[in-house]
Amino acid sequence: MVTVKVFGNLRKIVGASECRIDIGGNYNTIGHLLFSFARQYGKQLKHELFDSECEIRPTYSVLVNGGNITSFLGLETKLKEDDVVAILPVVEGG
Amino acid sequence: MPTSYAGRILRINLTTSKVTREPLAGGLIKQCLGGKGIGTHLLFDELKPGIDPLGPENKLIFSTGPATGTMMPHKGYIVCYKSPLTGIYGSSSSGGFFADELKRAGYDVLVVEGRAEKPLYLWIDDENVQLKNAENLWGRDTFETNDLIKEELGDEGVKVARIGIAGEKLIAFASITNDYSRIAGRCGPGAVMGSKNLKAIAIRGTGAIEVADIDGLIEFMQQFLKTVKETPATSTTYPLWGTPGGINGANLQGVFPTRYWHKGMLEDYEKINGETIRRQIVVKDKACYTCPVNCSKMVRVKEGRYAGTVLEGPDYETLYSLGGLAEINDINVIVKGNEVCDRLGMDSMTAGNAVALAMDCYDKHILTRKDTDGLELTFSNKEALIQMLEKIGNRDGFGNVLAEGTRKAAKIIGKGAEKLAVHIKGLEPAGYDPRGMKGVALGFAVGDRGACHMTGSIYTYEIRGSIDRLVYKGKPAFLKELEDKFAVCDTMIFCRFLRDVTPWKTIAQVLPLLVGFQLKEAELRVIGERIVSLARAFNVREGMGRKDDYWPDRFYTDPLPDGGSKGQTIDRAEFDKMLDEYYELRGWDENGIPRKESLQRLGLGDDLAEEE
Repeated sequence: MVTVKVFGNLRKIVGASECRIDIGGNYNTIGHLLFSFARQYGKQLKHELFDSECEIRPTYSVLVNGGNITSFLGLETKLKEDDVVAILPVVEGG
Repeated sequence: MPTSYAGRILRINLTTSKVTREPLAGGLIKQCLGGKGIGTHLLFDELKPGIDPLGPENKLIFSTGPATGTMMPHKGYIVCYKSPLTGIYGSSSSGGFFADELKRAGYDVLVVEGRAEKPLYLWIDDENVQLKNAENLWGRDTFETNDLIKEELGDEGVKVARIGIAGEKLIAFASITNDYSRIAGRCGPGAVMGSKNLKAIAIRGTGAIEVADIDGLIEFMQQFLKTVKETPATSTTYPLWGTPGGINGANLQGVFPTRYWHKGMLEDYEKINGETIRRQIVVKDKACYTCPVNCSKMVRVKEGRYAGTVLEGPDYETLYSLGGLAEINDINVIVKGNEVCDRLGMDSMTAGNAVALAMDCYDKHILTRKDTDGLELTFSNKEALIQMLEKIGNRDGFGNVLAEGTRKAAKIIGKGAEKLAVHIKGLEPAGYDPRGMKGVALGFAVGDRGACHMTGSIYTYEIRGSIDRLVYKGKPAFLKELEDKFAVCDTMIFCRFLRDVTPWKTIAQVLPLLVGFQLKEAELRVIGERIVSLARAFNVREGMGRKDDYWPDRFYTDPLPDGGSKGQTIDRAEFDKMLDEYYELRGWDENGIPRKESLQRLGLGDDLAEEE
């Protein structure tokens, strides 16, 4: 199981700030997790998170244990038990 | 040919009360464009090395840019000075409407020099420039001063830049406030203004601001605004949450400075994030002159001890300095602390760092209740934070020590406090822990003001994930590119939050529409390099060099204990390699001193090169 934390509009769609998802079998990449997540929460979430090319929209960042997946292997980034995934609106600061 | 330049510098000597109007030389415009460029150039030329920042020889140079007063979104002005906090190059920018009014009055640049014998305020009513008695305003806070001047002048539309009590009392990090609460906050410009006995600058400008090609600019703006609306930062993040939109990402990545730089994640950080602020206390979105983004938030505390507190803010940096560093995750308390800083007129970033240093010293028994006027200055003590901020702004008791900023306060406290103190060249860093952001480690270290996040703003790209934040390789070149570009943005003057929509190409495209002359991208890049090296030359003249481009030792030795950057430190050998590479890219020698031939290549002249 991995923990998925969501922020911004995703929180309204999911109805919670975080959830636990099983990543058993061969479906152990961040891409698999996100598509499974989208299936679970329907079209609204899919539209919010992915563009028509099935790429994560530039409005969102995805972190695994605090590291941005752009610094790993993107959607091919492998997940392991007890990882913490965060999906949040693109980070800015001041 | 029409141009967005007003074409004049207004110079006020407070010692002699002399007012002069000088033409803005074409050569200076071509070399530096405006804003930070012209301000830095004049500062370098007109200040002698080694002067007292709080003496009459220091100057405040308020400089607008080609975009100021036009429909091209911009911030307002940059003010340049020698900093009383750091003793080196100081500059700070502010948004709002004040600078647009200055340009409408017919001036691109305002230079304030000398020292008045008694408190005065400057009244610029187009061509009519007067120094008026401000003895009745001395002792008033920033909000009262704004209201009283507008009342005295009988004009609600007057734009007022002023200092509060902190500026009068020469708090080393006192700020200048304009409009309701737009603030030139860093490095103590308010103390410089206070040292000159200048309480405020009030402006009414009624002239028109022209542009070189109005039809071309309107056409450009249609595309530009479309781009703003299609870009995530300017269409979503900043309008919805403002800069607090960064709280989640910084904490999740373990780089949100917490417990005075000992941790990288604040417990229950969601209690102070952008979503919470929007949901609980935002009453109105605000924008600067012609800006479509609306990043600023008016808030009102609705419950608890501080109910009724009204503030423009808090921004990310204040959430870090008053929240993370003091381990306080109560948004209402942070708003109150921010309001105290804004009312008294002092930089909340340095103020928060100073209080948190004292909390750290208290935690380690370096300070006791006897030292802190009876306050139990423990981390997470909300009431102690607010009371200590009030004490700093009034130089009351132990607040008088912290009023000097972190570096000097630590020296006064002694007993090991200096090893805890976090600053570079005397300036406390912005809210990103360099151990988990290797570009920040370099960028803040070589920043022209000290540990400055604005010179290169590399934090944005590391925290977004545009570049790998934990990698050293490639950061010097990436930083140099950013510094050069943002130096030019600071001449135009574009807001940093429009960074995604103002690439070199866009700057080169809009410049001729505003000012009537064209500069190629390569020429703009030279201007950027010139400004960075000129600010460096100013600091070198004040004795700075490689030895000053380092973080405190504990960032190289003490790993972050938990969170998304657990175990990270700055590797000293890797850091040194980054410094070497950065200096080489800049044309500076191994000690970080600009080489003569590099300065000459940038057109900075033999006279400056001789000062090496």
